[in-house]
Amino acid sequence: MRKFDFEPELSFNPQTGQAEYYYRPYLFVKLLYKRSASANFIKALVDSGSDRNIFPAELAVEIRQDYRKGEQRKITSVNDNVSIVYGNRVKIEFDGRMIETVVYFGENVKLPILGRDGFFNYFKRVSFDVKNKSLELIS
Amino acid sequence: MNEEFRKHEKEWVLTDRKYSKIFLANKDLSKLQKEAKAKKIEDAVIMFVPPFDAFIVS
Repeated sequence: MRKFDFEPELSFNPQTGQAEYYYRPYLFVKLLYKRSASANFIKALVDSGSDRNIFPAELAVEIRQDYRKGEQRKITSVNDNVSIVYGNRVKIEFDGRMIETVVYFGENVKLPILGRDGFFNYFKRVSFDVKNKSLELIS
Repeated sequence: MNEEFRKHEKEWVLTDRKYSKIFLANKDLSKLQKEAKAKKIEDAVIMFVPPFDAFIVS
């Protein structure tokens, strides 16, 4: 079992007019494809509401992944924003662990997301402890 | 978290794991990657700074 603290992000509270921290479940990952790897860690949101792993296309280019050759799919948020992504097999490295999976890369994607099918399914259980602002990955 | 983050809403930044320093910032991720490569910065953290006034939903 590995436990990760939620990460703080700046947020503006309209009720108080003050800036405050909002805590979200993120992991720091690198992508690998053949002999190429991300030079820096990518802060990716662990999102139980996301069907798949979704990353910005620029991160595929960095690892020399010709991402447009991958399976083309549409993604939609619950509020109907639709865009095109391409599924490609890569390795994700985080916290000394490596998983081989499919990441969907899109040109309009901003926030890297680790989703259920492609990330969560590599673990026996993924548990969010919102009160204590932590995430557990149980193998 | 470094207060400098306030200046980089909806931008990509290259920072350290403790968010104590911003090495680079850019609205364009590919430009940020090129700058990081030119400066030979490795094993830092690339992150998108979400809007401060919005919730993130799936």
